[in-house]
Amino acid sequence: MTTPKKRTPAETWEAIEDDAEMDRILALSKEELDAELRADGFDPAVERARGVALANELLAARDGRNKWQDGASAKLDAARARLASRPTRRGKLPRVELLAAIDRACNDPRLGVRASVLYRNRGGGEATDEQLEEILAQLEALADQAAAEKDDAEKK
Amino acid sequence: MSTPPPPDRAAVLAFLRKQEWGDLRLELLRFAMPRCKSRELAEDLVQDAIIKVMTGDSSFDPSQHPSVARYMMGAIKFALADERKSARARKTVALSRGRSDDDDVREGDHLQATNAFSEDVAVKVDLFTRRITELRGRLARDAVALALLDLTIAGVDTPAERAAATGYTFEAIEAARRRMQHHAAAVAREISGDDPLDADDERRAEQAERGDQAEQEGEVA
Repeated sequence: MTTPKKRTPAETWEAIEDDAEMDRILALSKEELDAELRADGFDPAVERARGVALANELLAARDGRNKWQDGASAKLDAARARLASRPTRRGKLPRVELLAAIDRACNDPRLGVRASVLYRNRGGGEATDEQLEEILAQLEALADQAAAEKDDAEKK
Repeated sequence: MSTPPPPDRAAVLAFLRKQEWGDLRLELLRFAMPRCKSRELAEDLVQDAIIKVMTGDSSFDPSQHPSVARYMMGAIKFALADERKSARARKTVALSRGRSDDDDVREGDHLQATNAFSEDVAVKVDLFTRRITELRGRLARDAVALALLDLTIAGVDTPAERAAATGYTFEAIEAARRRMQHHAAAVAREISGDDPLDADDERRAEQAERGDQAEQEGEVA
């Protein structure tokens, strides 16, 4: 929403006139509209066809984008559900074991470069034990997701 | 004023699918042409308005703006105002950079032109101020139309914002808008200057007013 800006008398009058002109144009019959466009130097048939073609093109693009967004949204929901349903780890792992588990995950071919990037972005070896726990949980969730995606692909 | 919730994507798309885009393009071009210096600019503004609505890169929501054509015409007006602002800024920069000693010789001419310009502006300010005052007087007994005039002055233009600000229904606001146009046309004739609303608008406004008289009672939502 735009923030309203107080109008001067001239701007107010122009707004009222523009409003009336909108109504006038929208009340024109097709024939009247065509005649006015011709007077402006346009070919109404050509312009009408351009309008339809542009709209069809944009609607098709929007359809494609919506499908992609819906698919991505479904994947995200599934990943969140998997993360939420993961059992909580029993007890804390010592730092050495945490680092070893993360190292294994980073070398897991199913996760590829995603694991190393996630580990590095979250602080790498500088991370606290708590942060390492979180990183490991996320890497395990990623591994689960990779497995689920592989299953889906095989079913198809 | 509270921000409305984001529009339902599927509802917006369904609404857009139902539109006659060929006719809409023509209506937008007709609106843009007299306001633009060139056909190219008019076509660009129309194209941009359509693309923004169709790609979702605008705030268009059919529940807030019942007419997509009016919404896009409004967008064209805003875009044109931006275009004019940019052009003025470019001109100012060019003038300040291009100033030379010879300009001092022309300073007298420049001042004369500036004074003439100021007088012209003063005349216009006076004309439109008198028109607004007269219009306000004519609407004195029409509370909805008067509220609408105040909202127009305040720059509140969308039907939903107007309905929210006044508590009147969309229909009541629409009817009041036509009554205000009718009186504005009469005022423009009475206090003459350029561009009074044309006779067709006047005729339609009169028809609308006849139909709206019955609506004036009980139009509070």
